[in-house]
Amino acid sequence: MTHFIIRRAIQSFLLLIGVSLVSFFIQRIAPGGPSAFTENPRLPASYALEQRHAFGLDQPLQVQYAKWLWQVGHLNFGRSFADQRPAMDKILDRLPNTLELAGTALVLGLLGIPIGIAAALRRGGIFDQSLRLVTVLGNAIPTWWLGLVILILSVKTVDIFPLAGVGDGLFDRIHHLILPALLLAIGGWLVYSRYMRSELLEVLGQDYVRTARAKGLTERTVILSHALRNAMIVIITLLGSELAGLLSVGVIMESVFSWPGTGRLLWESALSRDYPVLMAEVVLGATFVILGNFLADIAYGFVDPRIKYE
Amino acid sequence: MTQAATTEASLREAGAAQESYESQSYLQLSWRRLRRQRGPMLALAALIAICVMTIASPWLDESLLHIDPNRGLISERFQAPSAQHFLGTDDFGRDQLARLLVAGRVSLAIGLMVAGISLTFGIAMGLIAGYYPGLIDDGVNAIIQVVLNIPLLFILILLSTLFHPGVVGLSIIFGITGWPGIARQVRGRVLSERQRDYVLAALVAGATDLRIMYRHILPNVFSVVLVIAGFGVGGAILGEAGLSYLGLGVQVPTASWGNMLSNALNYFESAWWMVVAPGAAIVVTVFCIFYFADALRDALDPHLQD
Amino acid sequence: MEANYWARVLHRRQLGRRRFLAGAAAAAGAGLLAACSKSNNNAPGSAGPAKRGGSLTQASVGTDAKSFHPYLTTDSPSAAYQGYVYGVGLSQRDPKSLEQIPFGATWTVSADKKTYTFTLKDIKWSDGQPLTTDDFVWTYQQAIKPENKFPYVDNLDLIDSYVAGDPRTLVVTLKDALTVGLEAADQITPLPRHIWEKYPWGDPSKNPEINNPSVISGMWKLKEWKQEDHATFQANDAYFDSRPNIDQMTVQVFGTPEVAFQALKSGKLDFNPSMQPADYKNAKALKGATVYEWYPAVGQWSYIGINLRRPALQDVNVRHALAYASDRKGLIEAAAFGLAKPIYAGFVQESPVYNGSVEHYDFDPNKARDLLKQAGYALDSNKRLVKDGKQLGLKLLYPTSSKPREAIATILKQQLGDLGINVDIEGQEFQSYVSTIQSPPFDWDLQLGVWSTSIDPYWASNLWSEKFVPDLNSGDYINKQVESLFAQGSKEFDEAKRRQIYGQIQQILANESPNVFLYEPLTFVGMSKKVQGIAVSPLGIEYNMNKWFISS
Repeated sequence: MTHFIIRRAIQSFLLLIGVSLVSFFIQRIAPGGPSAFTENPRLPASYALEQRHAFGLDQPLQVQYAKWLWQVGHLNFGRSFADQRPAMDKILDRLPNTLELAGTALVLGLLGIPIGIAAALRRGGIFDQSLRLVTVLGNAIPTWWLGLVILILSVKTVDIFPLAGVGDGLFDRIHHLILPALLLAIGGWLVYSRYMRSELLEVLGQDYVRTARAKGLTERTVILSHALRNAMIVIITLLGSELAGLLSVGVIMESVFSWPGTGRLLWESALSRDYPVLMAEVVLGATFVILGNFLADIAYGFVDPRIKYE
Repeated sequence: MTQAATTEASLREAGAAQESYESQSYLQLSWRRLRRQRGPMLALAALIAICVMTIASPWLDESLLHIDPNRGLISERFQAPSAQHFLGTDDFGRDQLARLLVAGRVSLAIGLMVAGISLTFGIAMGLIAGYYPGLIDDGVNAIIQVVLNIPLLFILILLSTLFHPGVVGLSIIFGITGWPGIARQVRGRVLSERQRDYVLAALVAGATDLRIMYRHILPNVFSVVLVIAGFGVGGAILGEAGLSYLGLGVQVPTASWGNMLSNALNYFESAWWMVVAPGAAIVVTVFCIFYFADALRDALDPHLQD
Repeated sequence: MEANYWARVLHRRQLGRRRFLAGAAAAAGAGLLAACSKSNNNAPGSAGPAKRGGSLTQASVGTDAKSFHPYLTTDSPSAAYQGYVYGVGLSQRDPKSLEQIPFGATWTVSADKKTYTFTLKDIKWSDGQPLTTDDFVWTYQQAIKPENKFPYVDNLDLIDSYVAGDPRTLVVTLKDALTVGLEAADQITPLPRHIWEKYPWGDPSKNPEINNPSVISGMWKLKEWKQEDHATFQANDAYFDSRPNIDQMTVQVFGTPEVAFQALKSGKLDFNPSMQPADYKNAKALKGATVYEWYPAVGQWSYIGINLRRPALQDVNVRHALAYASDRKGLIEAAAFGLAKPIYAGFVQESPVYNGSVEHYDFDPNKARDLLKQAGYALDSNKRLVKDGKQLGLKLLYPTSSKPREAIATILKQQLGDLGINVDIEGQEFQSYVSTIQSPPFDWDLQLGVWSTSIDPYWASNLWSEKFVPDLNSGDYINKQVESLFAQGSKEFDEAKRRQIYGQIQQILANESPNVFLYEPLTFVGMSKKVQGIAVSPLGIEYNMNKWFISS
């Protein structure tokens, strides 16, 4: 097991380097420089050049990258060009908001699992058919559009939703969280339920289940012990990839709901070429992905005895 | 939830469809099964109808409706649906129906191109990675991992500033970010196929690697691929709409459902028809695609046979 | 390129107002004056005497402010916040005549018009300490230090010396006798030395005042700031004029303007300064809110920039043809929903030196065709305009973040296309757009730009000067006569002669058409009916924000 962990750690580290390298070069190739230098056009080009020099942007790309890498090694992600605050601070400010939203959506989305189980058991019936219909329909509507429409319509009719921000205090925060989290959870219901349904159907068709039934175990026990085990695999797989998309999960959703999260920060930083913040977000995002996959793999090892790590 | 997770789910199912059947007759069996179901067939018919209408839109607009979808009179802007303009006019006074059809070409083209690019690349890389173990596999794997780990939005924004993308550019960008997911799935499939008897038999008989990949493994992977293609096309259409909202999608004056929708949101209060038309077009089309692909996946799954 | 920087230079200590431009592009700010004449309480439409109390929620659409440091930022949302807390300066503008009148100080001018002697009034910081000339001088000294990287430090070059006579007397000597002298001398927003000198000037992680100003001089004190979410301000009891009637003001950040509009409609929002022209009609129909509108003295104007490096565009006939072919009225209708006035020579109608008698180039496609013929172009059988076998093709650039400019581009393509010109419109993301028009190889023919105005025409000179090619003057327009006229005008104290000089400049600009000047948009905001005391002026409405009150 330890061998596996060490190997994974090395792989992950190399992966992070690779990701940061590619991101770095993409950023720098994109035309246009940091808007913080060009926002004041009154100053002649020499001002922008001075600024670029001061921030080391006129050096060869490899040198810049090496310097950045060195800094990051000391956990220094540089300062945002926009307001001189440490880049990582800006992200950490917003991270709780995004985590709150994504986390709630995730938990709510898990409701899809019992729905999927129910669909598998009543296969071919009305419930199953209509579930498929609703599932696919929900997937076909852009969530952000739905959110905007609901907000606007709610103002016209039952004015219950707050229109912006995260709120203050526990109840207010929940009030602000309801609509966006629900909308994001819809996606989860769809995926989890379909996945669970097919997994369960596959399991139910297996020989060992027939044997269990033949042995006289109740339907209930059969389902509970086998289905749930597969549920774990489902959850783990999907959670792993969920964690991955966490940071930039909904730029559009965050925009529609005026949610101060990391998605919007990524968007604004990319548009204004705020390189330090961009790189910090990419690295953080990649870390989340790697962590997610790693945890998922470890969990697999516990859940599925067939999988062995050495 | 991500599109990747959906296709992940579908693949695990369809992947179980590899039996020791000859691939052709298995597919034929599945198709026959699918044909009997009403829902999916309706969806397919609707899709074909949409495709035909949008492809033929230039001729339709000219000969049938006598309208130029790109011209309008400011004096006629924001007119509600009427006998003259079935779906109303937009903020430039252009007829929405004519424009919707032409925009459909663009959106569908993007969907198909994205699917094509990511599939081609994904399958090729997946086959190679799965078939040749060791360094090559590690190498391809590394590329896949790196691309998968960079936030999609980040790439989209920055690449789109480089390309100033038109329809083709956007498709390329989407395709570039889409292929690793497919490659990973295909690789997994190939890895297990590679151990099978029929492959070993072919090797013994002296077949070249390429022939084995193409003739024997690919058909078994094909069912998986078909389903991914379906979800990919739908996903690309939705993605384009999202990008347009952010201002990065297809640029005017070219119309696409995505940019028609996001433009219309400015006028939600005053001209609801501008929002409903492209929105409905997207939802109906994507719904049909997803529904059919979902049914296809079920039809291909041997565990769901009656 | 959005160049409201000079407006901000002058009005940093004044209340800013955010206007929405989709995306992260710098918004065009209209810097307004935080004026407060003591006896003034003639707010038209006010319902009875002012009452204390209540709270106001306003919207900020787009990106949030970056920091409260007046010498580190260049964006409008930040300028607005800085204006709220550090809103005290030496002079202000009268809301009716727009002339400069005393605010935090009175002054005298020396005979050679180079030296301004300011006498400060009795002003206190919010912690009770007196605001003295020492604060002014110390702030000035920090601002000019190169290592402090003040973005507008160049404007301070106009100042020769800046010294305090005694705690109430400030003597500012300029290098030249300029008509814009008072503004030039009054550029510094004072910061409380006794607080700020303890901390490093520009490091937000070590200087808590930068993002959480504790000692301030303006109308509002910052209570709480949750970045990207909202900022809450409280009335400053120590404000040297009268304390705001309203107790608390919250600025709520919205991600999209549609939702902000809904918030105003439902009453969750009291003040929406970021509405789009498309919403004007709906706003006017709102039952619970009033729409205030004005053409700002510090506003914006739209134009079609022409790249004079291109041979085809060097022919003045072609440029005049473009001007005649641009249907200003139609563009105003399409892009601004009719809420704009045409502009002809780079100066808005509200400018004190506006010259309305220049050539208007009213929409006349026939004249355009004639001029193009003179330039050697003829229509071929396919209705394309050709010369030497090649069709006249122009690449029109605009930033995708601006909806009005997208509309203008679409219409121009159609209308110029009708003349036989092939216009290739290209929308670019904002930073790319700036980079394309300002850096080699300058691959564009036409571009859609927006400039900000200033009340004093002095600041407009950079647009037309060679020194600022290719930044401000991205089209490479070089005319030494215009430059020398600007220099002349800056020193001409005779009002009539001054108007004549600037009038001449406009005449030249109209004749040479280095740009096609389009329009200046109307500013309008939505205010809940419960907020009273609003008095509209070319300065806007926020200049007397402390006089507003909430009626029940």
